[in-house]
Amino acid sequence: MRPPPSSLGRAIGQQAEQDDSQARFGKSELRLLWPHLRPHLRYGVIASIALMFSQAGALAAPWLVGRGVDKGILSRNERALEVYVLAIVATGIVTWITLRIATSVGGRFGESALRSIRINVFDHLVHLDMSFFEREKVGRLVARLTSDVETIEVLVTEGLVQMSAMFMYLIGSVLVLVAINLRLALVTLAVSMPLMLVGTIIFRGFSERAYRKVRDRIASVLTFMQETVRGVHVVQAFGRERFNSRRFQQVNDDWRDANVRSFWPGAIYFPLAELFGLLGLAAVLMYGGYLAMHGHTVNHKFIPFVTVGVLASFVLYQAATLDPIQQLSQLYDTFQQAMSGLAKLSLLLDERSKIVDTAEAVALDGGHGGAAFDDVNFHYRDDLPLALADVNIEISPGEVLALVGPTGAGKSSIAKLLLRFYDPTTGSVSLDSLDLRNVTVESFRSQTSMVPQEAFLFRGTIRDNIRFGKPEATDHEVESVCRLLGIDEAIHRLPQGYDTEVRERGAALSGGERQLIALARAVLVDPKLMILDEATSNLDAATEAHVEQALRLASAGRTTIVIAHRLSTAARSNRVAVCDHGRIIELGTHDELLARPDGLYAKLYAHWLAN
Amino acid sequence: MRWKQYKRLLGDARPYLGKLALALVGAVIVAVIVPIVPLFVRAVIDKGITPRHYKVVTELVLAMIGISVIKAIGFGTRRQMAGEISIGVEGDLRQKIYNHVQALDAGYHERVSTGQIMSRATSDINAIRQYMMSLGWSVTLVLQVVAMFAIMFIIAPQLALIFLIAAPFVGYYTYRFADRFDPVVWRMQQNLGEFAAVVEETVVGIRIVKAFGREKDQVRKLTKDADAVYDAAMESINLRARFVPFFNLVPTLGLAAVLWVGGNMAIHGRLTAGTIVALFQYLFLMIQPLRSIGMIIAWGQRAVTASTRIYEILETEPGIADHDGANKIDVTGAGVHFEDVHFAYPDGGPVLDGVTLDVPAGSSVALVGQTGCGKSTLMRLLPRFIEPARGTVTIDGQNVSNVTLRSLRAQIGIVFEDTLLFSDTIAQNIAFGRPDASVEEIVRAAAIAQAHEFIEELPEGYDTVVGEHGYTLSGGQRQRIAIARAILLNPRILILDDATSNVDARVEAAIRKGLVQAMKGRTTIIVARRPQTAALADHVALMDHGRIVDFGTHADLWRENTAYRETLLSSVGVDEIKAAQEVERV
Repeated sequence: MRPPPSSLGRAIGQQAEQDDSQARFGKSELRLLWPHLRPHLRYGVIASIALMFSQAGALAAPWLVGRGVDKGILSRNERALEVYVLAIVATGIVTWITLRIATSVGGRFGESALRSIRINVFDHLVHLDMSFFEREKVGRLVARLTSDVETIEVLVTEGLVQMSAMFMYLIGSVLVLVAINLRLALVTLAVSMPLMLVGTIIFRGFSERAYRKVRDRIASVLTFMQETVRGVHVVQAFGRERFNSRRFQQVNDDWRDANVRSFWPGAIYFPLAELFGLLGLAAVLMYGGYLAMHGHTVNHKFIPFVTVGVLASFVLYQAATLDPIQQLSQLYDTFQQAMSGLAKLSLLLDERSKIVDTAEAVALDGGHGGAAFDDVNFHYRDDLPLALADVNIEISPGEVLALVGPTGAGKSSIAKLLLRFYDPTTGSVSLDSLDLRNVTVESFRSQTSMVPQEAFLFRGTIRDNIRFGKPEATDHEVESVCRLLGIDEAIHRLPQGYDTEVRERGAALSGGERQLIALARAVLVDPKLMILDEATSNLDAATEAHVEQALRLASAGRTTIVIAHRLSTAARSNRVAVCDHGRIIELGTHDELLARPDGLYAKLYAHWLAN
Repeated sequence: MRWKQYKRLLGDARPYLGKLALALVGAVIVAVIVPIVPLFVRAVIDKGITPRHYKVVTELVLAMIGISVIKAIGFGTRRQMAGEISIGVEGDLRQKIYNHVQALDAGYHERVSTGQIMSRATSDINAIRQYMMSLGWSVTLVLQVVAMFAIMFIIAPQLALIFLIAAPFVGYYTYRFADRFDPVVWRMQQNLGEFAAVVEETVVGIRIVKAFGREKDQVRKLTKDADAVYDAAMESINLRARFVPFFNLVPTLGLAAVLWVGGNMAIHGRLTAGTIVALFQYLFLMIQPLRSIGMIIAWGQRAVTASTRIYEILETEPGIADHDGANKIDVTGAGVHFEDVHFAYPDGGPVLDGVTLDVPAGSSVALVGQTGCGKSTLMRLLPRFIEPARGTVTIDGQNVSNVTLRSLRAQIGIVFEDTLLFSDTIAQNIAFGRPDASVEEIVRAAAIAQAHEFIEELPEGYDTVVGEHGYTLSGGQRQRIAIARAILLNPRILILDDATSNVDARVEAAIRKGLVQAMKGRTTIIVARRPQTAALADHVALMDHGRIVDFGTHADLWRENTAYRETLLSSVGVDEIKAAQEVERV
């Protein structure tokens, strides 16, 4: 056994690193974005065109300044000067208007995509099968839809537009440089480009390695936190606050260390890139200065004349190409985070539900709720032993079947297969003689319902919760179900009656009340098949008497499977199935089973009576 | 603008003063050198090229490269430090939230959903991190504008004055923008929180969602929240579109003005060509800072809003905390006494209506009553999860309100009705209240709770990691681990909320035997829902509508009180009665 002083922080960290290695990012992440961007592409196109104009305006200004210097100032021509001044004002206004359009339309482009990502990822998530949810932690999944999606936000709303702006600006600047003076342009590019290229390649390697480490640590931090918040009552009851804080600090510090290290490559690369650009400027000044000085002697048709004005505007454009580096440096970490966010989302989207409609699936309709297990073998994972072995059972419509047996005997597994949370490994489970794999999930779900062991209620009113499985139910339907279950009166006694808010750890409702609401929720959908997982065991005996009564009414006309922990419940059912080690070892009515003195049921019952 | 909040936001960076100082040094170096570079360019033209001194050109260019290297170092330092500070602040805030949330009382946690709290710890903290990251950068930008303006003022004062005209407009626009942006950002963060809450509860309650086939409804519910987030985000984008391009227009207009005025001056020989070129360079260098102002204001505003939301949690005083001068509880026998306690939830009628109950040291009382009679509430008073509106709860004569929470709860072992386990090994879950417990202690507690046997049979025994909410364990197994968890504390007082109800019949008896062991020498309060459990206690208290209506031994009440019998007696009928009679006979 592991020594108690825990290393959970480390363990989570290791787990995170394993996940990291899977989440490699690259083109596939951008492919993930594409379907969400495509429907709103017109916004993107409009924004890009507007942006092109605004960039053209921004680029025109230094050129106009250069012309103004040469044609106006140096030629001492005031009229020409005024023309260029007005032209600059005009470009300013064009830039202003087009930038407004680019910002708002580009923003709409990004936010629409983000909205669609949020909804689609969630849609994908809720449709995954239960085996996925039993494997994953809540905090991690919530982080996918919150912090990971938010990392993309900056990328899609500002980033894409900004990046394309910077790119256009850079290309435009280079083109203008070439147009002004090819020689100077070649000189500056010859100096700065190779350096930048090499630097960028080296940097990408470092930075990707650093980020791969950071990738999923944040999910570990959030998972730890989420669990504590959910279970805060237990934490407080056991005085665990300080210990938990220390442990959280470990996880948090791991995350922090990895992050701090991830900054280094950027802190070296971006200043260097700027410096390389400046070396290009230096080259221009040296060479251009030389040309300007000796322009008259070296001037022939291949080497245009370099004036001071030409040199001036050249220097300006050269400086302009450096601007995007500072901005890019600012946005770079955000982009990296967005990329890793996308990588994690694409892992989630790659998950496939095993419980899906097949092509030939039919809608389940008008059946009577008879269920059957045929030669069912089932295990949760390939490396786990069989949870169910050779299970054969036929449940007639309207029957109440009790599952009894020791813990781990397979009762819950039977229930999970009946609810089609899982499909059997071999054999088949059927409802109304139709293999569950051949009916549509939706039609199947509309005919079944369940009461879980621990009543989970959602935020919202009691009414909303009861209506959960049938949102279109009228108030009258809700209340008549509650009357049937004998809880109508109790709910009316609450300050806001049916409109009382159910809260996350709603202590205002007792466990019994929550259970009853969960029961009402299940009965309201009027299912053909109902599964009760120890549903009555938390109720007060008197309340339970009501419920028993109501259940008898409620289960009339529908098949009911009860995971019974109290043999009295089993005694009231039509038949009892005794499970042990994944098998059904006895099946029959209460009296039949009692009549087998060597049977497990008879033993259990005798033991129970003796208490 | 909310200066106080800005101050608080920046205050979060206080532990990183050293790094902050380094970042500022870097920022200043960059801010100073950026405006100097054009001066070199001017010198190259005026002192080198025009008078045809090529050597001067070479020297000046080399010097320019030299200071650029210094600038690169400054830039790198600023960036690294800003990164470290932002990560530091992010981590600190998350730790603070974590620590504080653990201290907040049950009432708070009933009001605020996990999703909302988590959203503060993610999207709000992200907003702050982004802003902290840009802090050094914005200092550079501001200094740069100021420095460049100063230089322009020195080399061409008349032209620089043109810019003074623009200053008030820029200032006013900045103010208006921040002001309008504020409520929008608030709404956006709030909506993100709601969004997170829906995601969180859907994932936690996924079994129900699936069993009822309500996936599409949850998606619809979430779509509503995603739409609300979208609407608020679009509002903020439209505001940005209205304001930010303006910051772009200002330097362009300045450019035109300088060309016009400066050009005329140069034509008349009052300005050198080099000066004009340098001026233009400054104007260009100003475009970026001015354009970025909008972005930084937007980030700043979002960060302030985020920080306000975070401090909303941090500044919530726990409704239940140690009073000044509270001492550790001094427990000798652990006699528990409730004296005329009243309690009501804020939006409801009385839950407890004058309960007086004495549980002598080492004895046990079972609380019996129908759903909603107040028995769970009464128990929650003892570890001070809630506090009575009137009346007192005492242990060995000490009012629980006047002792330290930590010492109080250390004396009480609780088995909750819902048996939440944490994602960790079984051993760690049992040792939850005493992480330093030895292996032997853990095994002993598990044995008393009748859990040892099944734990040993698990593939990895005590090292088996139980999933979130103990998915892989059955309800009965979880319950026994929860009992072991309480027993391990070796508490003087034991609170059991229907501890045996979920356990299947065969182990129920065994657990009851274990409980008898555990209760020995401990003051115990049990919420009993069936006769066998009630019979474990020395006395039983029958509760109804927030009052104790009868008190005595189980046998007496069973015989004499019809209401008592009916409460404990379900339609199970004969079998239960038989079982109860068995107990009675014992």
